[in-house]
Amino acid sequence: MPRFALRCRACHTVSAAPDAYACAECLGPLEVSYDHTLTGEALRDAIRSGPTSLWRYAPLLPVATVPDDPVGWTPLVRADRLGRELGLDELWLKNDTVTPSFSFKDRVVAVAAQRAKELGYDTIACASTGNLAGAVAAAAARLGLRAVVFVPATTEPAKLAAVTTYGARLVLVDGTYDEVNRLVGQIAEERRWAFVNFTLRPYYVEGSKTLLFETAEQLGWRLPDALVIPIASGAMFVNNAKAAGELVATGLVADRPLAFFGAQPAGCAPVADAFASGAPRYVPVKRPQTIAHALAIGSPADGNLVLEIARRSGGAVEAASDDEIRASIALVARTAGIFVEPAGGTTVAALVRLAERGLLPRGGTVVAYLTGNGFKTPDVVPLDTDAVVRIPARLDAFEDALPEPPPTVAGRELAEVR
Amino acid sequence: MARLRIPTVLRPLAGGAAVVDVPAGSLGSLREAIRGGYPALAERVYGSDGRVREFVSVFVDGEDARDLGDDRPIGEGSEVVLLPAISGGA
Ligand SMILES: [Zn+2]
Repeated sequence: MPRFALRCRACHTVSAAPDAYACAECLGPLEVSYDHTLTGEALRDAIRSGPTSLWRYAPLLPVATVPDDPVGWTPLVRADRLGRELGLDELWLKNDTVTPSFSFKDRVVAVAAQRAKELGYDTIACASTGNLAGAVAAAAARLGLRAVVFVPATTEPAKLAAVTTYGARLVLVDGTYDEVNRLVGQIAEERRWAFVNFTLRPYYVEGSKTLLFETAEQLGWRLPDALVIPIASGAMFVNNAKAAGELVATGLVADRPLAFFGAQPAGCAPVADAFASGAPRYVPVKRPQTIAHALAIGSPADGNLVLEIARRSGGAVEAASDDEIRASIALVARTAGIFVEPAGGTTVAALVRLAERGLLPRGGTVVAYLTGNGFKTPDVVPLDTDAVVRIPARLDAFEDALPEPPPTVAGRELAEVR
Repeated sequence: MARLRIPTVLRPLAGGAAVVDVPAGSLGSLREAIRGGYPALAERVYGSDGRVREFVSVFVDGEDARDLGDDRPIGEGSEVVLLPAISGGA
């Protein structure tokens, strides 16, 4: 009996095809369900003896074999100074800015690409807002596959240069992400390419479970009290809830209430808006307007399930303006030394708002996912000219510019860095 | 006459065809044409109330037709695309 199968989330029919993403009966989303033979201490031992990558959780992932492809096992950083600013006693940041292509997408693509190889595909492909394109291109290069990626023509150039450098074919589409998505949905019906977020979507989304697997292990095999997660399609949110269920079901952690909080940019916040209004379903956003391009999905595939999970778990979905996002990029850089892209800024901005509103457990364990690196979006935060002096290459010029005791501006900066 | 594109998973219900021509001048007549020509396909796409089912998306020349009324015209040579609603997302 196979260890895992694809099962319809809606009608629970098991899929006959291993590379389908929609149920043949009702077109509902297929998801991976497992027959966990390894549990408890035996599973913990297997994980401990595995590689220091997301592949240590292979018994909980939908792959037949474990590739030599080190992705994941990123730092979980205790953020006491940021926590103090927000009035949170135990705040942790999952730093997924330091992965092979500098976003969490490396996790989902690692799983999908391995599955693509196992199913005999030679080309992996995707529709992307930018980060996924880089992750697919990088994974193809690591694993010896071909890559074709589709992105909106407005995607940040910094994200695209990497894509072609990795050797991928890049298709720029004139349209929003949702329009790219629909086009690629049609192409995926016609080409035998492994479109990681279509053809292999059930496997792909499983990769984001590893964020919580790692977090739980790094916390000493326990669940946090609250998770703050950015929402684009909502797949990370939904699959982290699935991960929590699997961690409990396999006896890796004790069951405890875990509140799921979501973050969206105000310029594309269909799920946050529905959460605020109490609506059971979101209304699609036709023209997203935000600096957080990675989160600019107006019709999030898992948006309605996000709403349900946020409500059921005692969480919330919060929206933050572009100004708050920029300020939060600076805040987390200054207090934790992590430079995030606007998606990460959105998460921190939501964290700030949720803390201010008293919705996060002040004394509890709060974890926020920082999912992409700020060096990918250098134009978002301008150089802070107040922090800059320019001097001739002479010692006296330096002494004039930064005399001791330091002037107020430099003094503030130096004191806070210590 | 509109061109109807059918996703892989539903093609067995249309004799294996990826694209079929259906006589339709509006969303309402499209539904009736599919019901007449491909009843098994219609069953998967439309509920008994005539609305597009939850996990199906219908696009008419690129526009999501879920909440457009039966009277929405479909031009001669229009392309109607059926897709699983849960598709993609980054
Ligand atoms: Zn089903």
